Amino acid sequence: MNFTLTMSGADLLLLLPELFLTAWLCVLLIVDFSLRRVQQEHLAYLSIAGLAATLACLAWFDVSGITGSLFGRMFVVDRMALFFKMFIVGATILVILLSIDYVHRFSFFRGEYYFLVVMSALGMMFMASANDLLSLFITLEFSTFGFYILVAYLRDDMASNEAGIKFFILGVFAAGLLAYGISLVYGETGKLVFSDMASAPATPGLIIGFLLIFAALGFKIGAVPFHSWIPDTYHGSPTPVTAFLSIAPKAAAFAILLRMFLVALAAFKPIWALLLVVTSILSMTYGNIVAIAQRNIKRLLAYSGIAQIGNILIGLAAGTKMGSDSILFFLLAYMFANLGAFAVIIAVSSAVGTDEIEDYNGLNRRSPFLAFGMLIFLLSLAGVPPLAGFIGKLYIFVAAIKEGLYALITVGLINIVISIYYYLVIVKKMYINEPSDPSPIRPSGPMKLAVYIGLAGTLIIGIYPQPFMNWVVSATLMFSNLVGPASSLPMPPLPFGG
Amino acid sequence: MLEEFGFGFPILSYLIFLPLVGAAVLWLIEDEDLVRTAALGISLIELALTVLVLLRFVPESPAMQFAEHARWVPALGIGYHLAVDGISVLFVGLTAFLTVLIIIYSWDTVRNQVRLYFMALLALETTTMGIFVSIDLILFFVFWELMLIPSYFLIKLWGGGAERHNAALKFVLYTLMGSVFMLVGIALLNINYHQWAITHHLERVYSFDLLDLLSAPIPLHQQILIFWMIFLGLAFKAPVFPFHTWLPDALVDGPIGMSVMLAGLKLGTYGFLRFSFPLLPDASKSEAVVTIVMVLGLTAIIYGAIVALIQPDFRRLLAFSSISHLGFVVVGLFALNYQGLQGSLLTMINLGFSTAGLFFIAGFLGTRQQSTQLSAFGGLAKQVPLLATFLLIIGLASIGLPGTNGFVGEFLILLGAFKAKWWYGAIAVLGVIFGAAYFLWYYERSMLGPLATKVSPSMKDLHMREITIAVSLCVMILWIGLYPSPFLKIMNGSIQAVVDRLDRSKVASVEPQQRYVPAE
Amino acid sequence: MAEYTLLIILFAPFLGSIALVFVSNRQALLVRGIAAGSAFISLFASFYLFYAYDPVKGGFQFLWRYVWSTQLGVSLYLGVDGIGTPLVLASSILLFAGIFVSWHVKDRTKEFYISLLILAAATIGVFMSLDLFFLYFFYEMSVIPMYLLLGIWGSHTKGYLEMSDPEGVTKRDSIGFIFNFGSNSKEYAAMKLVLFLSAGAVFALMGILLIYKFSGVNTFDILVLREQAKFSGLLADLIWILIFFGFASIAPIWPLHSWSPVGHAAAPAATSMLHAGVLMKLGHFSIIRVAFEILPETTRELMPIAAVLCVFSIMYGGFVAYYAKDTKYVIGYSSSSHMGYVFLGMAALDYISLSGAVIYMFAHAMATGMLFAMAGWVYDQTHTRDIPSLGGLSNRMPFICACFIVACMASVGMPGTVNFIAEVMIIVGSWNKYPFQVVIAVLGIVLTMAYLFKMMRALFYGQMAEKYSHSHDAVSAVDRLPLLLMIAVSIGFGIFPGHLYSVVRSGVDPLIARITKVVPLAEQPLHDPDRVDWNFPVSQARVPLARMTDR
Repeated sequence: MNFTLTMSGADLLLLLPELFLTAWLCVLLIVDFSLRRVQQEHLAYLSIAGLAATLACLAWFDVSGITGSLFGRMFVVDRMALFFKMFIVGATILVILLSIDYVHRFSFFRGEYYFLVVMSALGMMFMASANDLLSLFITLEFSTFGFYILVAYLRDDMASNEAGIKFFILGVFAAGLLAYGISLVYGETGKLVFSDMASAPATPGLIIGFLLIFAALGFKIGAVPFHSWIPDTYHGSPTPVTAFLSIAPKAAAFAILLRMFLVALAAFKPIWALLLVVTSILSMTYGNIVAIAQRNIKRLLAYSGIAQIGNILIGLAAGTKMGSDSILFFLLAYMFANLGAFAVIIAVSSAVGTDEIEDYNGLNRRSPFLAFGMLIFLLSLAGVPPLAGFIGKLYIFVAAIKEGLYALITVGLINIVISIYYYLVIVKKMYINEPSDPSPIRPSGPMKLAVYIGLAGTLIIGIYPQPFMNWVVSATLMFSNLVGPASSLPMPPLPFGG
Repeated sequence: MLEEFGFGFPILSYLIFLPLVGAAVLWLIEDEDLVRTAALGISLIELALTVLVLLRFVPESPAMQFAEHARWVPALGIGYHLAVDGISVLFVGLTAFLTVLIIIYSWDTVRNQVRLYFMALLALETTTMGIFVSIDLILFFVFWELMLIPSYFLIKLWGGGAERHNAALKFVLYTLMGSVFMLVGIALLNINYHQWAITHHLERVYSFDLLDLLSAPIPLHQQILIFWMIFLGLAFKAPVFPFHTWLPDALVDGPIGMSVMLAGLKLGTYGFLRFSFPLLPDASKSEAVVTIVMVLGLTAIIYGAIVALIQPDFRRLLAFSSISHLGFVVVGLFALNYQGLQGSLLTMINLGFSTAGLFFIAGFLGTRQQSTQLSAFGGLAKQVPLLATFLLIIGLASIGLPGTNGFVGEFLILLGAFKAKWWYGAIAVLGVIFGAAYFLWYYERSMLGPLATKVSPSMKDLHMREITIAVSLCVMILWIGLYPSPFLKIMNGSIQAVVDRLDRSKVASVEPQQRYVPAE
Repeated sequence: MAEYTLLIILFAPFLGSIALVFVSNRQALLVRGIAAGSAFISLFASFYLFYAYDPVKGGFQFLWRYVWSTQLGVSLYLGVDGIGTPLVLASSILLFAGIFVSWHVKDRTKEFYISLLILAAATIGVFMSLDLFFLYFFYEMSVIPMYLLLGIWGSHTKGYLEMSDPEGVTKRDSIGFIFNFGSNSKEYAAMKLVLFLSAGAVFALMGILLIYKFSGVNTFDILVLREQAKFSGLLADLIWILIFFGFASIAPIWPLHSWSPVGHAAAPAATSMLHAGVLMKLGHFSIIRVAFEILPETTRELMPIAAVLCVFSIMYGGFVAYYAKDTKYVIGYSSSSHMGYVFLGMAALDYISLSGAVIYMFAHAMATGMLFAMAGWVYDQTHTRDIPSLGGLSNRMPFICACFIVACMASVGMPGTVNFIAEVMIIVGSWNKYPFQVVIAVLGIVLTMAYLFKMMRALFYGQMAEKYSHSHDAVSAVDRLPLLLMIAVSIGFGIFPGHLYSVVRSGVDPLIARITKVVPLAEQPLHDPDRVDWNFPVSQARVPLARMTDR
């Protein structure tokens, strides 16, 4: 097949955020290499500035409704893509805030660290726009390259290297699966763009192909049974990278999953709904149960992350407009809570040195602020009102109950109880146990800022979710032709005029 | 709100709440002597009021007099309804009378927490008054329960015996055990009235008012159910024979004042006359009920007397003798004829004087010998002639010697019993004989003969306060014994009404215009 | 103030806790002041609510609504009926009292009051939400503060849970210990409480979601669901079971009770007060608000379940309380036994009995509040809750002793306290349907008397151990105020229950009428004392006319 590539200024405009960020990457590199005296903090703030500008630009697109597609619909900029791009950029900003302290631990290549982070962010931004199989493959790999390096960034730490190797091997394996699946699908349908395949007949090859693609993406989001790399990688890699891994790639992968399932495979919903139900049940149960036994907080968050992914898959299994809304909303809630939690982890570990849960004994006495932050984040992850996580979970359950996924919801609800247990164990250590060494912990400015942002997001989304819900609903308008009830409901009249 | 006063002021409410206010006043007084005087003064005013009531009471009439009526919880038909009739008015007088005597007695015998003691005593008087003048069943129950609180603490804190704590708890638990069943019975009455009122489209569909409940017919099977429920409540308090086990402990270990109140005021049997018979005539008449209760009563007579016969401790003896006397009362009641009822009502009053009197005497002995065990006495008549004399008089009254009040009562009861079934009477007579036996034998062993060595020759005879108590009791005893007609007159009307109701067992026999008559 | 009353009641404690976040722990007085102030505002407002509620008009009043999320069909919809009003009042009274009871908390005072205020506010929120979502929202919200309060400021229960009868034979709360694994640590109790409640909550949430799906009106609004949602057959039963047992686990009904006494025993005084006083009532209230309102027919069919279980609650709780050696354990079991009365009153589905149940909730809140407050005081003074080792305290603390006696009387249902009215109503109302249960309940009263007097005697009379000679009475106004407040309310409503009754009745009547499908003979205005008792179900006229006329 041959592309007739006609690009106008208008088309370039659609690429503006990505182009700008690419340029900014070069600036970062040049500054890092040329000016010897520049400190890594400056680079950090520099990259944050760039990302902020990108964010502003994306927001401007979103508000003024600039959408469109490029390169024969390989690259689409619709509201959902914009949502995910903003999401990823925002997450990256937070991650960089988290990194500023941590980077001191790197013996060298401090500058490149930010370059790599922003580069993977860029890759994921492309991923959010990927609308056909090729761009899916390219962007996925592009975004992963950065991580291959970042995960193993602590070169003299064995755990980090192990994590790097594992992540690399499994990543490449996933890439292989992906390539194979893509080739199968293309062979069956002769189409590359998702929306063109909607009418394709369900041949075995096609199904296998999509299964392989799903497996590859499953590796990205770390759903059971593709989760094996998650714990060790989370554990070994530098904590900010863990934080980054735990949210951004998953969001990007979900952007693709949504497009793939809700657009390309809309016809086969019964089949993949079942697949997703099974995956989600496995992920939730496995993640929660194994998390109970964890001693290291990063591993615990890794497993709880698996469980959270299971929760999100409930929304995907619903396969409706409302389901997709709930996924986007949940991701928002999850980002703030999760990154906030990692912020606290970094702050604590920079004072204590390790990531053992035991080190959180009496945190409330050592730093009430961090303890309070951690409390809120954990409770939000556990889904306790009035925090964001609660609304997110309930949103997903409501979307699913409308589709009648009773078994799935039952398992989900039971898992909430299980998860409350291990989150509360940490709360107990922070608040009830007495500290072994009572010296106070003073988080640095950027840390505080990150925690504050996390708190603000968690609380505001939890208490006043309406605007965010409107946002996610408008972001997925493209799915509103899907089966399932309309997302917005008329409020019933107020009886006896009170 | 208050519909009817005998006096232009709600005298019954005064009767109830005067002691309570008095108790509150005592709380403010520090000085102990002042406390005693104040308590005495209050109880005397109370007594004066009751005398007033007795004087203005219209005898020979079944009417509810001095009625006061106010709504309390209209929703549930709970009302604040007070009135006295021939059945209850004498108890009102008796209560006030005994309280005065107890306060006089406690003047120097109670030494610790004096203020609290008198407060509890007055509170007790309030609740007892309430029990006697309440016409509304819930109100009655309220006082019935509230009475437990002061009693509990009187026994617990001022009791003499070592076992007083358990005695107090036992008393409260037993009584409560019964009264909760009574509460269910009351609830059943209310439900029954409710159903009747609905079907007759009356205005008040819920009511606990005796006079309303009287007008609602009750099917027999339900009557019997309710009867036993209420019977439990009353029998535990009375106490009727198998439920009596708390009584000896309470009477022996409690303070004299409490014993006097418990033994002197026959609350349980009053309840039969007040509620069971008028409300549940058919049940009260039914063969099974009468037989069972009669047997219980007769057993109580014999059992109490025999056990009393072998008691070395005077107070324990009195406890069992009062169980035996209560048997008499029950027998008289369930003879279900005019003489029976009249006799047992009179006997209840009599016991208020004689048994209570004996307890006072026991108190006198106790203060002198720190014990009421027989082993501590012997030939006291030489040492303390006055005491011995009074003991003899009151004791003879309690065994019903002609010329004392006991005779009139027991005679009427036996008459009634014989009228009902001859062998009831026959067995009851045995009780009289036993009664004479245990008292005289005890008297002989403790008072007559040579002075026992354990008795300190310095033992004083009765002093002024004690003589006052004894004399006033003897006066009442002889008055009723020699000239009972004013008392009988007072009760006749109401007794007759009850008997009529029992005979006709036609429901709603109390005519509306008959409910309230203004005293003059 | 009228239309904002509920908002004030609900958000005063929330705002108070938010304000506390910005106060340093060093200014202890300011911290307590803020807490007490916000609680007082809420208390004042709820008294206004209680007396401004118009029983003649009945129905849901003080409605206030804010559309919260159109996507989920959720709106913050507040309103109280005759059932919610007294419970809101009870909650704010207990909150106010609790703040003073815990006046001497030294460790992390600020955090303590924040948790306490959030706990109480969440409870109040449940009592006034007319939206299933927010009902669950507040319900779940009240759990976590409990965890912190128990875990941080609680106390280990040591071996107190070991019980032995007079012969010295060791008794065990079998069910309690099956789930207890013999553990006595406060962390354990707290975690157990949270897990039980969350498990119950998700059960209920499943039921709520099912209602949401099958009502077909896409709303959580109870009033709309009540009118439009129709459930039947297996689905209705399933939903009802989920809702009932989900919420009954906090009540706590018999087999699900084991978390509660352990929680009571571990919690600090103020928390036990709120927990036993109002948190437990969330269960009954939510069952009434959700199951009774939305599934009347199913309620009529399945409510006998409660009638069966309540017997076990009453007897079992009573006996365990009799043998328990820990003061708070006794009170905790006594209250889980008393909750059986409420279930009995609810199960009878009768005007009088249900009103009795609601009034009993209010009454029990006061009585148990007092008992726990004083158990807490004794613990603070003697640092033990081991009943056998205590004794003779009446000399040291006469005031506490006197209040304790009053509280016992109230808890037994001694006439003159509001508990008595409630008990009479439950007995009168339930007899027609469940005479057996009524007899059990009546015996339960005697049992209550037995163990409360036993405890009172063991605590305040007898021989005092030397080491307790330093303990003081509650002398300062701050310490006496809460007790006097609760006593005043308990006795005040006991002597003048008129308004309380008519308010409750106005909430109960339409409910029972819907469930039992019997129209009251005549709709009379409730304020006219003569006519109050005119609406009653015809079906109660059990005695056939023939039998009554032939005599």
